[in-house]
Amino acid sequence: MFDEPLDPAADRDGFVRRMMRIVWPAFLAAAVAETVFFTLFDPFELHLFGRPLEWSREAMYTLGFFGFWLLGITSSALTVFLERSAAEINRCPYPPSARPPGCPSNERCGDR
Amino acid sequence: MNDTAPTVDTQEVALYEIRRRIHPRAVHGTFAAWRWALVFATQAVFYGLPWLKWGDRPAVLFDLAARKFYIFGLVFWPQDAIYLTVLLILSALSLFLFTAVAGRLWCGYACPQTVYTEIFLWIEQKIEGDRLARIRLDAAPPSLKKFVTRALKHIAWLAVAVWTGYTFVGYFTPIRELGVRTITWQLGPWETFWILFYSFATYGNAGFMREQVCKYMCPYARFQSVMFDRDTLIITYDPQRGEPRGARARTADRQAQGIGDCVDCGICVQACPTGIDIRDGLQYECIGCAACIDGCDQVMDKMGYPRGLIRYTTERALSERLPSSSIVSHLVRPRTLVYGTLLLAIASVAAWSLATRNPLRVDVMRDRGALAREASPGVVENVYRIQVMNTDERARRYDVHAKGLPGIAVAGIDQPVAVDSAGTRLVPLRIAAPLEPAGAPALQPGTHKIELIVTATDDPTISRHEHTTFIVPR
Repeated sequence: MFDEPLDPAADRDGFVRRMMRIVWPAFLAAAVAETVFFTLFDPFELHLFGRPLEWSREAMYTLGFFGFWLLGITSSALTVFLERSAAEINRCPYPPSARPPGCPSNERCGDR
Repeated sequence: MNDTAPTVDTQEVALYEIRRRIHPRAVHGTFAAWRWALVFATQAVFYGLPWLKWGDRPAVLFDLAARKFYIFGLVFWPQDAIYLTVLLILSALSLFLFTAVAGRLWCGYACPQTVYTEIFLWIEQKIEGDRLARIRLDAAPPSLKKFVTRALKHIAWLAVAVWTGYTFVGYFTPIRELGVRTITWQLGPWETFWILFYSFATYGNAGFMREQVCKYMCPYARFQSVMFDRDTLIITYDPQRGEPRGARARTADRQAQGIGDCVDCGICVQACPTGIDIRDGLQYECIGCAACIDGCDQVMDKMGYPRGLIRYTTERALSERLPSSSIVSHLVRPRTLVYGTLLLAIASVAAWSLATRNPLRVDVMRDRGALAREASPGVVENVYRIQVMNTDERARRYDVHAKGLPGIAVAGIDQPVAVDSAGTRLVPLRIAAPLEPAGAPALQPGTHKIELIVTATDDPTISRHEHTTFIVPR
């Protein structure tokens, strides 16, 4: 059930797909958040610690977008991270070929 | 993995399926022609719109810096966000309707991911050659020729990508100004950033990610099946006609050989941009591009068999062997009626609301600093600021009145208030009311409801009544 991929290319593609699942939903959520937030609030009306922000609207929109995106990425990444099964977390991180001879894992974990 | 590996292991490994680079075989035919027509149509709109002019301004401009959207004769403000919401609802409903009728039309013909992939594939084919040549080039050892070919392709891709990024930013900054500033090297940092960001996204998605966007990133690909029913047109292989599949000579009698119409040439698989075999049935990876139909029809023509071994048909028509006329008769059904009616109703309401939109908006704000005071003996004054927004294409002047208390009057402004076309003006003003008006009871201390009326001087129907309060101090 938690056999490691036999091929490093499969490992890499699995990683790439995991990254897609983190970055892309966050991007979509950021686009929605950006639209809703800046429709309701004019950047010129925002204050930071009681002082008006003196940046251009373009700067605020851009920073706002990446702020929302980063927030979404954090959330997606945590989801993906917590989604791993106990078996995946507990398994020996080395493929059988990389384990030193006499490694106790080989007896305990068999081929895992 | 050893021979005795349980099946779960095989599935687990399959989860990490290696992505094989897909080189779709170019096909010609009805549906390829439709796709190209839509590539041209959508891109003519996308690349062309920012250059169109409306009077002395761009016809379509999302002026984020000024928080105003211009769309031909209409000017939208943040307060008009409801129209954006309505537009999104209409888009979603259209997508539902199209999907219920004919599957993933959007994906196959109009989605930017499909359109730009199609453009990038065309460039790839022109520079690197056809499918086989590209597979050979992939496998070839590094050489100067390979490097030059690849470099040329990436330069061409980048050119399209940068132009796309430039056009994208041209929706937010007038594109002609953007051009002038690019030439004179005066682009702002944010514009530069977004041009590069969008270019990079186009280059990456259309050049490298391709079908992975549809397979792993697109939510619509995952939920489109809920809009499907037995009468939805889908791209289907006809197994009753095709099976058992097998190679044969062109002159062979397939009935004598006991084989179906599928010659198992694999062209439907080679043509598929997502790399699936449509003969395995409906799959979520199928973006409905119909390239397999075009490919198969070409083969059927060569074999002298009737076209349509792979075709647009419905589940019902296929299983019940119904003629194509029955597909049309099943077009109107509760699902399509509900989507269609909702679409029409919301669109009509939105159109009516846009057509009768009041081009004047007024926000009244009480001055928080100075609530109320007795300006002169027997006269109370409250201070306000009003924001007058003229969403019209022409400059207007407005009269400001107050009512709700005897003898109430607006003071401290020059009447009428002039506001530019698509402009806003913040006007401070005072409203005064006598404490003991003639012929009316004296004003009680406390809060009174009053009304501010702003009316265009040239058109009394353009008017806003805003409620606010008037405070009489003790």
